[in-house]
Order: sequence, then structure tokens, then C-alpha cells
Amino acid sequence: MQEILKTTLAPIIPDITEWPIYKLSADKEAFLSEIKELTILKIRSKIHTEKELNDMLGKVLYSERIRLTQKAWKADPSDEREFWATIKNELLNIEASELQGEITADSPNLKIVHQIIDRYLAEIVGNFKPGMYNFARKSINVLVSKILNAAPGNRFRFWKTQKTIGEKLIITGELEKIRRLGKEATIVLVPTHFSNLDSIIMGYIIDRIGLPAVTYGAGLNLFSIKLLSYFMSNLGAFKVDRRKKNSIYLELIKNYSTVSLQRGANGLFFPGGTRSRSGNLEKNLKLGLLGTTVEAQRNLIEHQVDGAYKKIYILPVVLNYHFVLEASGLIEDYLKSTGKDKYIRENDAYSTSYKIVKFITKFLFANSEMVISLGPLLDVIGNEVDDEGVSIDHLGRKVDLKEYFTLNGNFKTDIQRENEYTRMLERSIVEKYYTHNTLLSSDLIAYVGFVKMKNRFPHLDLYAFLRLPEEDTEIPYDAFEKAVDNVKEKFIELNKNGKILLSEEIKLPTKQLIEHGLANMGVYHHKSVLKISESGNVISEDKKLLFYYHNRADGYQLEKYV
Amino acid sequence: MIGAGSFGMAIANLLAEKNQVLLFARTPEKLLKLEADKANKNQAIHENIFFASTLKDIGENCDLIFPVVPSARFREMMVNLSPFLHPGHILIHATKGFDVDVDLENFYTISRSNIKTMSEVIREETSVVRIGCLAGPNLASEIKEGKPAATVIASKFDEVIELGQKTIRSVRFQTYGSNDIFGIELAGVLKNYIAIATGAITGLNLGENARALLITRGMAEMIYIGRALGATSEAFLGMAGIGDLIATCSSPSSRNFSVGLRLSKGEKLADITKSMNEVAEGIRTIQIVKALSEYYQITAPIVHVMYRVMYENLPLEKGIKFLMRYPAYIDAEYMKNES
Repeated sequence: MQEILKTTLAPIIPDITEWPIYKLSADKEAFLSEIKELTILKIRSKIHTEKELNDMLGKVLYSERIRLTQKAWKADPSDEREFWATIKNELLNIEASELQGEITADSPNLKIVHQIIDRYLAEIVGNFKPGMYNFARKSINVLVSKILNAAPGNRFRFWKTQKTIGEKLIITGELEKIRRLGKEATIVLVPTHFSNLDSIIMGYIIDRIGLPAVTYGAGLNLFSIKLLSYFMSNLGAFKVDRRKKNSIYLELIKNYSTVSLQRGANGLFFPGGTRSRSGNLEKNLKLGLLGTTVEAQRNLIEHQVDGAYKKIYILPVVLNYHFVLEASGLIEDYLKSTGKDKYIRENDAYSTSYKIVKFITKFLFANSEMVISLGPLLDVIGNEVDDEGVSIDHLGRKVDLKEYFTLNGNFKTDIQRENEYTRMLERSIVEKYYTHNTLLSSDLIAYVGFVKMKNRFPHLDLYAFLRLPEEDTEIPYDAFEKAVDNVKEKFIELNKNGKILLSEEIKLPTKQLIEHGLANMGVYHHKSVLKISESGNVISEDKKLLFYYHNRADGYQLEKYV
Repeated sequence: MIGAGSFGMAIANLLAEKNQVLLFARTPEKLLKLEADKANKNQAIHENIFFASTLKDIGENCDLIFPVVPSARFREMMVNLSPFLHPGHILIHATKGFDVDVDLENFYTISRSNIKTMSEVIREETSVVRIGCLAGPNLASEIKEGKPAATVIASKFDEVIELGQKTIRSVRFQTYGSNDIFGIELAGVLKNYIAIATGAITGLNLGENARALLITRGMAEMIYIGRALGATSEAFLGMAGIGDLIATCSSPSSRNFSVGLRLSKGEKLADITKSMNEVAEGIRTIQIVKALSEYYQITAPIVHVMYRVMYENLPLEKGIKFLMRYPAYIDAEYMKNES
């Protein structure tokens, strides 16, 4: 049952010093050495000889030198070059005779691996300080309230009265169950990703529903902003450097996640990787970090005590906004990469990426609501779980999670099997994104508006259509309203079958629904995404953005009802 | 082992060389007769084979299960077996047909969303996730006689392939592995109707050249249908594709081949099916593939001609003549435009 959150809920574990993320931070030495051990173990399970290990180090060094010379950041520590120069010398000093045979305990190559891991770990590791957390929690509350409670601007006649935060940031989900199971289990939140605002909103939601803080990977580039860096590094965020793609680094990041999950710290990551460029719900997820949930769960089962083990639950979250401030830049990226030479880019000052600060200030004056739907809790295979947290398969049967990791009744570790399970989990999360997507008024009218305009030019491909002047794509209001009405009915039907969620306005009479949608959609873009012209027709001043917003309601096969 | 048809029995005997096998047959009469005779149609039953009277026995006593029953009854059997299965089970099927959710006597179109492979049926109807399939040039009659053969075990899970290989491999039964289970299943299904066509051309005494022509173009047709359904070409070039095609298209002991052979002698389809005591999967496959090729607008002359011969009374000679004159310009074009 989707419940709607009315007020901020009390923390499920009142004492912050009891939170796993706090314990993790307090026990940092042991935590880090566990990650290190696991990483060395994995490297050695793949690489057996000194020669192979030496080759691997050569590749790591090479990619790091490329990073230092071609992608250096000001924020990089000043001794970076020095460190890698030392590594290079040590590698050169290894005698040919030391490259023979299997890896030994006093292997010179292994010693270098240790050095590199130590350096990386020191950079990656996050901290968690309760004082900082309480401060951040207060500031984020003020910030989000400001964002949502800003007095209605004069453009929006729709909102006459000030609404409460609960009315403007609507959180729905199986809240009671999540809170109850969350006391004993580890919860990994996997939200859709549309906007830079998502991280802030997620931080806010986690606090509001009373879950202990999460560990999450944040881009190292964000840490170059001093204030932000100070904040984040004391909130449990760990640093991820996207430039480092070498095998040791990638393995470390994954193991950082695995070990913190094993130690019970809740997690958060955006499995789509980056913000959705097209505005579509994510269909393909990044499997690397997702796979760490499967691995951690297997480890917990393997090392269970007295027949009981801690469970890891995946919580899909769908964030629905009436508008995404960076939409212009995102859809531009999308069209460029899919259209290649078919897509001709226009000069548009607004398509450059926005700075975070500018972004938030702009948003402060925005006046639209957000709907956040928490999907059902899933196990690491992608099964839903019942009220007691027992896995329930697609047939509605109780299944024993442990059995997925056994062969002929015996527990067995199998990485290839886990990769398959990660894919199953991916499919399940994506399915929940669609079933727990909340259709907003603006999504619906953008969908109908775009499909209707595009249908008039069946012979044009997307890129040629987008280039048409706006007067050529006008549609009469009556036909538009009729189509919205049709499609609305279909969405209501889908909703009854559990295929999508609907926001309250969808139930309004169609005329009002359209008004609501027009008033809310993409209000801060400098051109109207959809509006009624003076002659009473429906027009779009920016069809790229219309396409972007339309994509949100795409994927439900309703084109033929427009 | 679920299914006591000739192929199921041949596999059961192979498995029994190294393992204890519990066998289930659909009808109690058949089971009793097997148990009493200790033989199936002149073939002795290995002493390591025991008989299960219910599907519950199978589910509760076996970790690894081989369902080998006709595709038309596969789903029903899975529904019945399902309550006794859990995620610890591993299933490897050897059924070469499609499951369809439309009435084959009365339907509008058939697309990918209407058909399921047997592994997809297992996934839908049970809690089992580790699923595999077995396909290749495996004529039951030859396996029975102890002649050498090979098979491919396909699964997304390496452990399923390894377990399957470990249990069934022997000096006269070689096993290959593949992770492309969908492709392997399709290859196994699609080759059946090519076998019917080849049986027909053989019966008409048109010679070896004509037969080779048909098999080669049949292969191309299989690849096109497979691609439309989302498979890649590789599986068709392996044991389950070309391998099985060569075996079934040259052997009168193949059921599908013999259907074609009898068509060439002027027998009607209805009489042929009535007199066969086991199902020739190719007959059903022809109806399904014809509809698929129309839906996806694929040029598939063999399936269309065979359909018209079997269901619309087109004289076989006329149909084959049409195929032999079918204009073509480029050889092995399917290798060039691999998508």
C-alpha cells in the first residue's frame, strides 16, 4: 500500500551513535583494512603470476600518467606527480628475475599494489560526524522548505494559498514497512536521476522518513568546492573520481560499497550512472555498484551466525518534477549523441550547463510540487519482500534467499552467477521505475502535445521535425483536449492494473488538468514548452524541451490513443 | 527426467551411466508398463533409473531436473511441477518447440510477445532461475544404439552448463557450452520445419544437390527469423543449428524428416499426425513461423510453401518447384549484413 507521508517521522534508530554509518566511521581503521584485504584477495584471484601483476601495474601507471598530464584538476593534491614518479621508479627497479613464477608474500609488485591502495583509500574514504549531520539536517530542511514554500509568484494564478511542505513535496510508499524492516536490515536507495537537485532531495527524504544516514559516492570534482567538500566529507559521502578508470581503483570503489553494506550502513546510488539525458526513465543501469549489493548479501549469508543473517533491501525511488532546470542542456546532449549529423545544433545561450549555486537560487523561486514515490522493497535478486521481509517471487510464493546461492544444497560462491543476478535485479528495478512513476499533469500534456504534433509529419524523422518552425506545428485546442482526455483514460486504466501511479490532478476534469499542466510545466525555461497561442491553438516554442518532457510518459505504448 | 518419449528415454539412459535417475511419465499406464518391462520400445532401461509416481517425488528428490515433454503440453506440466520447485533447483530442458498464447486454429497475428521458449515458460511458471537447455544433433535412435554424438548445453549461468556437462558427458556423448540460451533454443526449434521440407524433397527424388540447396537456404531462413526475434547468428552456426540441421535433414529416423517423406508419398497431414505416436514439433512450428514471418515481413519462402502444402492443399511438387526456382543473387548474404 502506498501511504502518503504527512509529517516528518521520528528516526527509526533514535541514537545516532547506534547508526551503522557512525560505527563504520568510528571503526575506520578496521573498515579500511577490510576493504584493502578484500581488494588484494580479488586481485590475486584473477592474477596469479608476478609477470601478470607487473603488467597490470604498468597499465595502472600508464592511465594515471594520462590523467595527470591531460585531465589534471586544480583540486588534485600537490604531491600527485611525485607519488606516481616514485611508483614508476619502483616498477623500473624490479629485476627481471623477480618477475618469474607465482606471486609470493614478499613480492615487490604486491608491495606497490599496497602503496597504491593506501593512497587511493585515503582519498576515497568519508567521515561521519553526528554534529555535522545534525547541522546539515537543519540546513537541508530550511533549504527544501524554502524551495517548496516560496510565495506564489504572480505568474501562477493556480496557487492562491500557501501550501504546507507535505502538500508540495509528496512522498508516497510503504513507509511503515520500510521503517520497520529498516531497523534490522540494510537499505540501499536507488533513485532515478533527472536533475542535480536529486541528491539534495534524497538527503532530505531519507531524514524525513527517519532512516539512518546513507553512504554514497559523490564525484571528486564536487569536493573542490571548499564549503561543499567540508560538508560532504563529514556526512559519510565517499569520493569517486570518474577520471580514474584503472582496475585497482574500480575494484576499490566497488569493495568500499560492498564492505559498508556488509557492515550495515545504508547506501544510496543513482544506478542510471548519470542524469537521464533524454528525460526517459532509465532502462539500462550501471551494474558495477548494483552488483555489490548481491556480493555483500552473499557474504552475509555465508558468514551467518545461528542461522540468521542481515538482509539487504533495495529501494527503488522515482523522483517526479514538473520541470528540470538543466533540461535544455540534457536534451541537447541526447540529440547530439543520437542524431549525429542529422541533428543541427542551434545557438542557444541557455543550453550551457548551470552552476549549482545559480541553479538553486533559480529554484528558490520555483513554485511547483514534487512527487517522490518509493517503490516496493526488493531483495538483491529483485524479488519483492513481504511484511516480515521474506522474499516473495513473481508467483507470490515465499522463497528462501539462501537457496539462490547454493548448488546441490551446498553454499557456493560464483561470480558469474552473481553477475546474472545483478541483471535480474536491474530488470526488476527498471520495472518498478515504470510502475512507480507518478504521472504529473505536465507529463501528460507534454506527451500528448508532442505525439500529436509529430503525428502530423509522419515522413519526418525526429531531427527534421524538431527543426520545423513553431507555427507549422500548431494544433487546434479542441483536438488537443480530446486527445488528452483519451490518453488520460488509458493512463487511469494502466493505474488500475498497477502499471503507473497518478498524481491528484490527473483526476481533475480534462480542461482543468490541462490548465494545471500548462501552469506547471517547465516554468523556468525561457521559452514556453507548451502554451495556448493568441489564436487559441496549442503551440510549443521549444520542441526539444517538449520532446524531453514527453519522454517521461513514454514507454507505456499509448501513442495510438493520441 | 520428466517425459518418457524416445528422446527423454535416450537422455535418461545417458544420465544413468553416472547418476541415479528418477523418471516421471505423464500417464500412470505408461509408467507401469516401463516399470514392468524394464524396457521402452525394445530399449533396455538402465538399472540406475527409478520411477517416480508423482511430480512431487521429482521436485523433492532431485536437484537437477530435465523436462523433455512436447511443447504443446510443456506449460501445463510446469504448472503442475511448480509447487514442488524452489530457487535451489536447476532445470535443463530439451524440448524444441514454442509456447504460444494464441489459438493456432484461430489467430490474427503472432509476434515475439506471443511466443515463449521453454526456458521462458519455466521462468514464468516456477521459482527456478537457473535454467538451461540441451540441443544438438541428437537423434534418439542413434543415442540408443550407443553411437557417438554431441550436444550443446546453453544457459546464462556457467554453473548450469558445468553441472549439465558433468552429469551427461561420456566418451560417446560430447558436450559443448553456450551462454546464448535464447539463440540455441531458437536454432533447435526452427530447424524442425526445415527437416520436414527436406524430407519432402528427399521423397521426391530430386537428388542430393537439391537437398543441399534446400538445407543451405533453410539455414538462411532460420537466421532471418531468429534475428527478427532478437537472436544473433552465432547459435545457428553451431551444434544446435547447422549440426542439428545436418542430422535431422538426412535421417529417416527423424520424426520431422519422416513427416516430409510421407507428404511426398501423397499422404495427407491429418493422416500422418494421426498415425504418429509421438509429436513432430515441426508441424506446429510451421504454423507459428509462417505467422511470425508475416508479422516481421521477412522473406521466408520455405515456410510459406510448406504451410501451403500442409494446410492449403498446394501440390507438393508444385511447391518444391517454386522453391527450386526461387530467384537469388548473393550467396551467404546473411554473413555480410550481420546487424
